[in-house]
Amino acid sequence: MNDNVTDNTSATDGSKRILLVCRHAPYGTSLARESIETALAAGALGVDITLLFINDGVWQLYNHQQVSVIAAKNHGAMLSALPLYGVERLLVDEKSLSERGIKASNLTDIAEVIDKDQVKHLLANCKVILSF
Amino acid sequence: MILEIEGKMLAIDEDGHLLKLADWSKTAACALAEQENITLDERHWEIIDLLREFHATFELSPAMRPLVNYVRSKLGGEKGRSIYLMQLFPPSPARVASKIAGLPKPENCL
Repeated sequence: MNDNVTDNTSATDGSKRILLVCRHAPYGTSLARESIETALAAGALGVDITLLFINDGVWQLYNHQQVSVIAAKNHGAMLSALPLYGVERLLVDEKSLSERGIKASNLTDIAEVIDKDQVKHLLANCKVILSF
Repeated sequence: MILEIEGKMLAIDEDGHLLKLADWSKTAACALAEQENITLDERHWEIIDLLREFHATFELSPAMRPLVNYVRSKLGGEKGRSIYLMQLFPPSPARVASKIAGLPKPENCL
């Protein structure tokens, strides 16, 4: 690891962190649920972890998840607890949002939108990447 | 398993947590606290109310760290400390207080 490399996009400098890549929509499979369990456990143990929401994973952050009809827990509500667990970096791929016609204002406000170069940089610089 | 409180039969899991959120009442809380050898006073109720609020907001039972952070954000640094919660809900505040508040056991409670 080269600590001398300076980086002006600190949000995406993931060289010392675990990156959790969330690629799937919530509810259809257990993948989204598994990823949040991982993030909660990492947070509870004080591990430095960043979440990147990309492709259909961006739906996990959507504000108006009407879960009562499927008797599920609200995934967005659970994600918004992450800052209390010490997990504060929730990054969203801008391209995935625009492809789906989702505005940043429709996402839970703990998420930070990043562009494709920042995504590339993040993926290239994280030593540990867990994909869900 | 079943816990009987004032003639009502309430379903509980193997750790004594209520299975249904709606089964919780102040009377149930007192009975659950008794099992943990805790007598509830207003200091306990303040935390129990916060826990139920946490669960209503995030649909989660908090582990220790988020519980401390949440209490600190709502009640300030004097109460938002592990030692304070440890004195009220020994030996494991996240687990014991969740149980008394009628919430499921925190999943990542170690």
